[in-house]
Amino acid sequence: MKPEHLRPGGVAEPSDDVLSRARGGDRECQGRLLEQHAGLVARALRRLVGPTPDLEDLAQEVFLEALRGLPRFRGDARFETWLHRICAHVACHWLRRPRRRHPTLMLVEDEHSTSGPSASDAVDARAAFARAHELLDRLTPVKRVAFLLHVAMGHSTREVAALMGSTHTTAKARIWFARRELDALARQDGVLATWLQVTGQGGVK
Amino acid sequence: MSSLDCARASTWMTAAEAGRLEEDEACRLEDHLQGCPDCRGARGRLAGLAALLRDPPPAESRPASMERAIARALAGDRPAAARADAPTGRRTALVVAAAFIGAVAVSWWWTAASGTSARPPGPSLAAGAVEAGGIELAPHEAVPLQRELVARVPSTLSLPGASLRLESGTRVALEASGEVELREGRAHATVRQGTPFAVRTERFVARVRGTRFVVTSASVEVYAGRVDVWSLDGARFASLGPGDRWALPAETGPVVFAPVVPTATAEPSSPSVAGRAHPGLPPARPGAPRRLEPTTTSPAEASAPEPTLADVRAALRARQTARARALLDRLAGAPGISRVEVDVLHADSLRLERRFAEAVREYHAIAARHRGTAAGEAALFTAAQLELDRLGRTGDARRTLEEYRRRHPTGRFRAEVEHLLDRFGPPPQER
Repeated sequence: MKPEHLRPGGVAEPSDDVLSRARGGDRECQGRLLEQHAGLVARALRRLVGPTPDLEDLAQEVFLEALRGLPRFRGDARFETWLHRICAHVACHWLRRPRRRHPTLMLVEDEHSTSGPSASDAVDARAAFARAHELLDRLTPVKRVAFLLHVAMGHSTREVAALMGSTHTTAKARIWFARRELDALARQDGVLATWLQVTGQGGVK
Repeated sequence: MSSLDCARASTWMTAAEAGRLEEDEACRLEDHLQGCPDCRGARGRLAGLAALLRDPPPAESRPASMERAIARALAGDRPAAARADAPTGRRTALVVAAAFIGAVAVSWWWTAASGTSARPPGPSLAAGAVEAGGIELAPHEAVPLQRELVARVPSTLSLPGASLRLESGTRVALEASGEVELREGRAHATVRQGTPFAVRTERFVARVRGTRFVVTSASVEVYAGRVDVWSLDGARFASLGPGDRWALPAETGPVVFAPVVPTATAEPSSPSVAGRAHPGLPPARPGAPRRLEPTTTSPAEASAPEPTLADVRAALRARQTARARALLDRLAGAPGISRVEVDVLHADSLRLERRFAEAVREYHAIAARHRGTAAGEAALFTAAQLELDRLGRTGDARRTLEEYRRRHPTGRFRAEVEHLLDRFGPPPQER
């Protein structure tokens, strides 16, 4: 069983009736189904591609593909797993396109935030998160996505293989190489080193 | 038991991070790490990175953009990025035109606000992501006037003599008079000494002369300098100094203004146009009530027979939220009308309009005001759902769900609450 922090989702599986109506072209039902899973898609895409102003377009692509693919969704897998598969494909496709990663804005501190880490922590974490994804940009899209599906989204290596349409061996190899390459990059990166040291994560020697 | 090499240890470390290592494998991995500083360092780095990538910092909860993405997908539109190869001459021209108009407007705003022909920098986006009329502003782009600005993430507007920090989801408009109209959310203002500056909300105006303060639609907090809080009809509510906090009365609830009916029979102070009566508060400024939305009420409707709650529900079912609120305003305080039902229907109307942050505040207020009732229980659960699904505020949602569990140990949503809390995993301090 997966550790609790890696359990996916948080959205109830849609009923057969809902799926059937959505497959049949019921727009309202399709809209509700997508709305229920919008958070899941946003989280998955953000984890796969990092901070980007294209997140909305990517989500639109995922929703469009989901609507097109609904008639082929047989219910063999969980609906959210199926959406993760689409997210992985859309992310891979986007990562293959030549693009410019926009500079990350350093957001102002928010001393009145009532939840989560303090504002200054969040700002630092955002910078570290953006930096980590800049390093991940140097990996091939399939290695990056396989690694993130496994490490950031909690899918097993077999699930990663199924989500990416690869063999289990290939999935494991991609994750392993991605891990090694990311470590080599992170080892020389000042921003991440500082963040890891400050947060007490990864200061092991 | 054979010793591990570094390559296999690396594979196993990934598996261990995901909790998928057998006990004997974990022991062998630990043995290897004891004698291999390189692998120990790599484990530390990658564990930290994995945590960062797994739980991204709360930066961009953008329910609105997801809604747009869904709407476009339902319409069968391809994303703009997928059409990026297409020539964009017309779009560029439009952007240039918009920028030009914005620049002219900003210049006029400054002149009007300061009464001088000097041209200091006008309002612009200093940081963050802000939409003006559905178009995202570029960093340092001039901010248009009299258009609703929505902060999609915490953002800062640079204004002449002041900076205004908007929390995520905050909606404001810069008025030609130089005032900032706060429509929803929270704004942090830092004003240079001697600069006149005012933030107007639905029911009060906070005026300053060089200070640092925070305004929401129901409160003002002062960190430096002095802030005067005025009613819209010119009466002073309070004069605040550093450390002072002023808030609308707790029982006030959200301030709702009924639509303006431009007829001689509908006076601004009449119940059909003056909005809900709130004890201790003056009415909206006669002749200039603040409106939250366009009206759909006709003069004939204003003189129609007293509505019922069934009429409100019917309006909500038909998604006529503005009409529903107008009917609620007429109903508020009427004999035989349940206050809790009015409150719930009002919150529902906000939810239907996707004004989720406001709806959540309403639901929380209902849960506090009607504690121990079925409506209060449902409101608390609904607030948690919106915080989780619509606003992406998982920390708030968790606290709300825990509050629900405390207040309603045998409540009707208990199973769902437990299910959601279970998905969150253990509280952060227990990890």
